[in-house]
Amino acid sequence: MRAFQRILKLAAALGLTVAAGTGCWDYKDINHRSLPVVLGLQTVEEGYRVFLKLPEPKEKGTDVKVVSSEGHTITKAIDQMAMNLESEVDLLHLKIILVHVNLAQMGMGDVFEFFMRARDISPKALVVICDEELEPFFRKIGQRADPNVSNLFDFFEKNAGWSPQIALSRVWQVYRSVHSYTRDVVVPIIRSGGRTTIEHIGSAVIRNGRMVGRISPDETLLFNVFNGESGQGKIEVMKNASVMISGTRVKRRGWMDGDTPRLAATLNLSVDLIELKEEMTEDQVMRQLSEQFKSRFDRLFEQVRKEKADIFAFGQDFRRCIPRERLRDWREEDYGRLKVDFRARVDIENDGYIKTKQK
Amino acid sequence: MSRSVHVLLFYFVAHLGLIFFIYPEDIIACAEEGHWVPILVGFAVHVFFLWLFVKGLSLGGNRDMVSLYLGLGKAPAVLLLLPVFVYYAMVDVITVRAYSEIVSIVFLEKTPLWAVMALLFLIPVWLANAGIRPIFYATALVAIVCLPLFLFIFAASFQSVDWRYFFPLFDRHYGFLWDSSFYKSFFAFAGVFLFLGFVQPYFTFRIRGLMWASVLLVPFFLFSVYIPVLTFGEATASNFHYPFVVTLDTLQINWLMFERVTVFFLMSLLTFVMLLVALVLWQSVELAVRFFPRMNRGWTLLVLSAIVFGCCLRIRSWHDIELLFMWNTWIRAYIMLVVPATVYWIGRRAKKEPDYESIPTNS
Repeated sequence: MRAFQRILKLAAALGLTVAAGTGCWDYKDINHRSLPVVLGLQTVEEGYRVFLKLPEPKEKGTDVKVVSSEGHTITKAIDQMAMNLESEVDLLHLKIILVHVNLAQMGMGDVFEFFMRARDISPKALVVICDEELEPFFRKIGQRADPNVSNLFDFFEKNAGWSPQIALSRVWQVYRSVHSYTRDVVVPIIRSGGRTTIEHIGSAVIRNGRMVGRISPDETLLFNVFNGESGQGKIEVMKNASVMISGTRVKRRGWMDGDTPRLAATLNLSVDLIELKEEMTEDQVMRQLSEQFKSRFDRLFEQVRKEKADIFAFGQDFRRCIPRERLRDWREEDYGRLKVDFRARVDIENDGYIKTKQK
Repeated sequence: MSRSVHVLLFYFVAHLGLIFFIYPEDIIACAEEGHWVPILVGFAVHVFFLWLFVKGLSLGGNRDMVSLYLGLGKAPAVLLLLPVFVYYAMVDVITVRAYSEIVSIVFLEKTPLWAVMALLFLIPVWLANAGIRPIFYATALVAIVCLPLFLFIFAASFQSVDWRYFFPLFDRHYGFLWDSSFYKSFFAFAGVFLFLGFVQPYFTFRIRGLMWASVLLVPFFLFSVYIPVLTFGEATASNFHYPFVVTLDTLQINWLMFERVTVFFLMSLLTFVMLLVALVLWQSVELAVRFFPRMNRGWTLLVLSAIVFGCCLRIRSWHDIELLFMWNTWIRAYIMLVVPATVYWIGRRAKKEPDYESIPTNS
């Protein structure tokens, strides 16, 4: 009798667990869900216009559909789309957030707070700025797109179409720049292209969640290198030689010289020689390349300093020497007086099948 | 295997279950810089009183806590242990409610809260009904499965840390001592260690081993706070509920077939927390039954669980939980400071008494 009672108890407990454990609440099958990969965001007179790029399963492969709606808030717009669609919108697999350039210039603090707060949007989603109206943009890439691949996503995927001149900034990094005292980000800018589907035209400098300037793809490479991307595979062209970067490393040290913040940064470049003209020697190539990087850095640094955006996170190196209360105004005060001594050191790793003169 | 391992393992994993959710948020809220100071201060307080507590127990002849207190007479014992009973009920309510909140934020957003809570609570009730031995054996089993997973994700969470956020090293104001969040953070310490006062007749443990287990916890205490701070910076991390969980969401592990490691992390810690709730329930029942031997164990557990679950359902918003946290700060101080001190005192007194008898340990 006791054994029977025990079994009964066990069965009841297990049964309850199973019933609760299935989690079948308002459950919707996968074929009744739309899983957008790209979300486009644009400001309109009252609130936002939201675009969603939805994959549509067909008998053969998938098709792509773009829907859009307007609303006071982002959720309102999405909600409206969900109402009109025959399936539920599930933002769980969102990979790219495409922001129109006007919205970026107005400031995206609120928008990114929403993205971080929303439970279903992944903070890993990439942030991209679109330099043209979203409506024609989606139409153009929709016409071009091979329905089987998600071009926009592959464009930024490290194991597909990404190259080192493209910045990769994620939602959480942009959110961090809204609040952090000493750190800003850059975000890639794209538009629909002439020949290729998408054209990368550089990056936007984001300071405190607001776009304050633009930089070129070559300058974005510098940003990437400073942030630990290797820059591997990028081909660097000079007046009469071209090389391929095979590795980069940055060393930096900041200190206070009286009241002036100073920073020494050394960029170590390893390159492979690809093309040479007019009997250039290795030494000349090295010197030219290092000068090219130096002038590029100086120009870029001058620009972002004017924009008060610390995209290289130089302020981070001063956390040891500047108290926190003063760091709070880093972008406004000390960053403006920062002196950076930048040096590029080049090593030629190999020069292919042809011998090159050393000197 | 010595039986001591189970006790130490439980001590370890139950703390892990508590550390990673509410603790980082409190510590980040209580200091703007130099977070390691409040962490280590809290930890030192914990270790000192933990030592006092287990020393008192061993001086008292390795009896359990309740019989030690009963040596003072029934009325003082009831009076001294009543706060413990109340605190245990609150621990149950807070953990079940807070953790189901996390579950619903992270992955079961459409499931009604009561269902998540029911699941989170039924298993512990069932385990508590089974008794202390099955709880400890289950701990060993669960730890074998979940600890490696947990350690892997913990190691992966260092992915995007920027060590420069570690500076500035010192907070010159030591303002955390006046911040209520700092005292709230003791929740991570106070909930667990009292179980050591209940295990004695069933399991034994060595004080030295226990001290090592607590030292092993230090890196987890430190990095549960520092991983969000080093990833986001203090200014950003202070905006988050559950900063550590947010940091996990930013992890990018391409070769792993699962995209969201957060879910796995949460699941492994949830099992630890369920074990803790089970043991806390069992202790509450033990307390009640020891003082009123005529009470039936099964019914006591059932009534207690019903009350606790009812309280969980009554809590409407996160704000209420915060309030509950603030209220039980005093009881928590009592648990952390007064209980170990009195146990030590009783233990020393018991040893001096002529009719002192030590229960031989069989480890």
